Amino acid sequence: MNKRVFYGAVLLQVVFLAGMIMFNYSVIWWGKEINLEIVPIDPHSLFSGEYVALSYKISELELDKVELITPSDTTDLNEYLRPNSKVYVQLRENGECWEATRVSKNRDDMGEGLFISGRALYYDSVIYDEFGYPVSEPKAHLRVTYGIESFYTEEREAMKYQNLGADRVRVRVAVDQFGRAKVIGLKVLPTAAVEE
Amino acid sequence: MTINRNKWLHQEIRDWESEGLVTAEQSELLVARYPLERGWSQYLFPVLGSILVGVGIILFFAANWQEMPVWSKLALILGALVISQHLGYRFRFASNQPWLGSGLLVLAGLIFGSAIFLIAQIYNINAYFPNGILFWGMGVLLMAAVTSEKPLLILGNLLLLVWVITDWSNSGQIIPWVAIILVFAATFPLAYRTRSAMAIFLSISLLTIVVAGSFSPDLICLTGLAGLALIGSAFFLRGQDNKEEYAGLYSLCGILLVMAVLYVLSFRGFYDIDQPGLAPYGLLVAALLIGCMLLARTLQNKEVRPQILAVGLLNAILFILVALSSSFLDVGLVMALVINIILFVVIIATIWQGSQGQNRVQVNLGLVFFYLLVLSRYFDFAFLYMERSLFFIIGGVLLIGLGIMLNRQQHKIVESWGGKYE
Repeated sequence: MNKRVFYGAVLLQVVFLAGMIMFNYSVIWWGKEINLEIVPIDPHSLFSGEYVALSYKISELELDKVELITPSDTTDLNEYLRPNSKVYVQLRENGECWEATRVSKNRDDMGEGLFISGRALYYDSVIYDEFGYPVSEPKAHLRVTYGIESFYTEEREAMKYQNLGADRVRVRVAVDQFGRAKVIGLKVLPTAAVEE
Repeated sequence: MTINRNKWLHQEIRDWESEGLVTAEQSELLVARYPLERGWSQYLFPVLGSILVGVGIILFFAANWQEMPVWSKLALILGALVISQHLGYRFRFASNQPWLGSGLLVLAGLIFGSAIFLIAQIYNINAYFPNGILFWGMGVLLMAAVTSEKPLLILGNLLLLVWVITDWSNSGQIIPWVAIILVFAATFPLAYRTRSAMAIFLSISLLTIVVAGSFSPDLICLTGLAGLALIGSAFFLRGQDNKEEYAGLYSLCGILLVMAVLYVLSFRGFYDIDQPGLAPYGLLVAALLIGCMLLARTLQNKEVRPQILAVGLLNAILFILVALSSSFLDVGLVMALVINIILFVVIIATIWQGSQGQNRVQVNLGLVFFYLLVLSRYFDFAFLYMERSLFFIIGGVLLIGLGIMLNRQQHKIVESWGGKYE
C-alpha cells in the first residue's frame, strides 16, 4: 500500500468538499442580496433533516408579462425551450421584492442589469392545477428552476414557515454577476406589513 | 478456487489421509498449497460497528444542529473524515489489527457521505439527493481503488445502486452512460482486482437496472440491448470453459444479462418505433459475422458445441429482429411473441442446465425470470379483457400459486441432488 497515493486520495476527497464549500460561498460573498416572493411547502429529506421546498413567483414565467427573446428563425417554442435547457432571467426591483422582466437563452440579452440563471422545466400554453385540470385560459408560460428551491431548517421549523403562509415569507437570495444564486435565509414579514 | 472450495478440499485431503491415499506429509503439503483465506467473520463486527457509527453521524448532522456555528460543523466533519482515514490506514496497513482498519475505512466512507449532505444543508443546495449519493459513491470507489478494500468496494457499489434507483424514481429517467462508464471503468476492474464476487454481482445488478430503466422504443436503444445480450452471451460462454477460474460467476452474470435484455424486449410496447432508420443492413451484417464467428468456434471446441450453437442462434435472431423492427413497423406483436418464446426457452434451458450442474443459484435465477415472465404477460393481456376486481382476485391467486409451485420445484430439484450439493 503506497502511503502517498492513499493520502493523495484523501486529499482529493477533502479538496472536493472544500470545492463544494467555496463554490457555494463565493456567490454569497460576491453576490447581490435580493428578496424574492415564494410559496413554501414542507417535504422531508431523509439525509438532510427538514427543509422548506421553495417555489418562487419567478419560477412560473407568464410570457405575456415577461419578455421572451428568441432567435428570429425560432418556430417551435416547445423545442426551443425544451426541458433542462439553460435560461437567463432578467430581474427588476419592484418595491421590496424583485420580479422577472425578460427571459432568454442568451446571456448577452440580459444587458447590464441583474439576472439569474436557471433551467427550463417545461414550456406550456396552459397552466394546470395539482389534479391536472387547466386553471386558466391558454396562456404561454415557462416553468424554470434556479437551484435555490430548498432551504434547510431546524427540526419542526419547516412546518412553521408553511403555516405562516407565502404572503408573510420572503427569501433572501444572493445573486452574483454570472447569474448564480444561493439562498441566504428566510425573512418573516410582520402581519401589518402584509395587510398593507 | 474460492474460499469455500478450499475448506471443502481440506476436508477431502484429511479423508484421503485417513484412507491412506496420501501420506501425512503429502497431506500437509496439499493443505498448505490451498490455504484458507480469511473469512468475513473477523471483519463483520468492526464493519457493522462502523456502519452504525456512520449512520449516527449522518443522523446527527441531519438534525441540523443550528446552535453550532457553520465553521465548527465543517471543521468537525472534515476533521472526522481525515482522522478516520488516517487511523484506518494505520490499523489496516501499518499494524497487526487490519480488522479495525477495515472498519475505520468504511466509517471514513460514510463520513464522506455525511460531509456532502452537511455542506448541501449549510448552503441550501437543492435537495436533489441522488446527485449527492453519486458523488459519495465516487469518493468511496476512489478509496476502494487506492486500498483494494472489499468492504469499501461493496459500499461504493451499493451507493451507485441507490443512486441509479433514486435518480430513476425521482426524475423518471435514467442517465445510462454515467452508470455504464462507472461500471466498466471502475466497479468491474476493481471487483476483478479484489476478487470480489459480491461486487461483480452488484455491478451486474446495476447494469441490469440501467438496461431495464433506459429502454424506450427507439432503434438506438434496441441496438444497444442487442449488444448487451451479445456481451452477456460472451460472459456465458466464457463461464462454460472449465478452465476458467470464475466460471460460475461468468455464467450467472451472462445468463442474468441475456434474460434481462430478453425480458425488456418481451413487452409489446417496445416495438412502437416511429423512426425507421438505415441500421437494418448494418445489423444484418453484424448478425452474420457473429454467426460465422460462433460457427468457427463450434468446429474447434466440441465440448461446448450445443451452448455455442444456442447462443449463436439466439443472438442471430435478436439482431435480425432488431434489424427488421425499423423496416416493418407493423410486426411488433409478432416480434414480442418471438422474444417471449425465446425467453421461455432460455428460462427452461437455464433451469435445466442449473439442475444438471447442481447449481442452486442458476436454478433460482431461471425460476425468478419464469415468475416475472408469467406475471408480466398476465398484467399485459388480462388487464385488457377482464373485469377489474376479477383481475385482482385471479392475479392474487396466481401469485400465491406460482410462489408455492416455484418453492416446490426448487425443493424437488435440490432434493434430487441428494447430499452431493455443497
